[in-house]
Amino acid sequence: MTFVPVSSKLDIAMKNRVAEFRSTKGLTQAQLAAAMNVSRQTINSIETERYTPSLPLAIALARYFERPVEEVFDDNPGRDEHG
Amino acid sequence: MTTLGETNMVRRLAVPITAVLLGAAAWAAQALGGDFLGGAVSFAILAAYGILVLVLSSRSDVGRVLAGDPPDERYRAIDMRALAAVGLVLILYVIGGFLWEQAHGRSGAPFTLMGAVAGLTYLGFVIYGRLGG
Repeated sequence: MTFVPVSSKLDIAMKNRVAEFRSTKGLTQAQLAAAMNVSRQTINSIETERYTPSLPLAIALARYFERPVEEVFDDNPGRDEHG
Repeated sequence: MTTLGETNMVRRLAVPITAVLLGAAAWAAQALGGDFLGGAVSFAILAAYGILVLVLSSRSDVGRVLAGDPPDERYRAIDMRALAAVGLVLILYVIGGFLWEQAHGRSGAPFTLMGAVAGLTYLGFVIYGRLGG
């Protein structure tokens, strides 16, 4: 896997699959928000990629979905993952 | 529904109490300056703001931000950005005021001192942040 530094594009919202994994678990945004101890609007903002969560929240979400964090969040969805 | 713990309640009371205390201080200052009634109006405005913030804080997330108790990290970031915007507007006001005063042949006071305080405060916090990680 190629290392791609992201320090120069920290302001860019990351792509994520939070909505997909939440739906798979059959949860509403409000239920996921309660589990993460954040507001429903924050979950909505993450899902619509208007807000990039902090590292602790990103890890908490990944653990909650029982997925690696880079499977839930992707800073560069267009790149070749096997490159 | 959010449970209102004791710590959150204290946090949410901080801004309303500060507003009331500030109102009382404004009243006292204006009374000392000979404007007792004007001071009472200042107190009423600030106390009303404190009560409004307290009521809003139990009804909305934005109310909690105004009360100094943002509900999560995103609202904390919003709060920080709003504070940064306030700082930017104040700096622009100070620079504008300084230029206005200079253009009228005056020293630039009090904007010169305000600008110096703002600049040194910013510098101090950058160094503090750098040292503190």
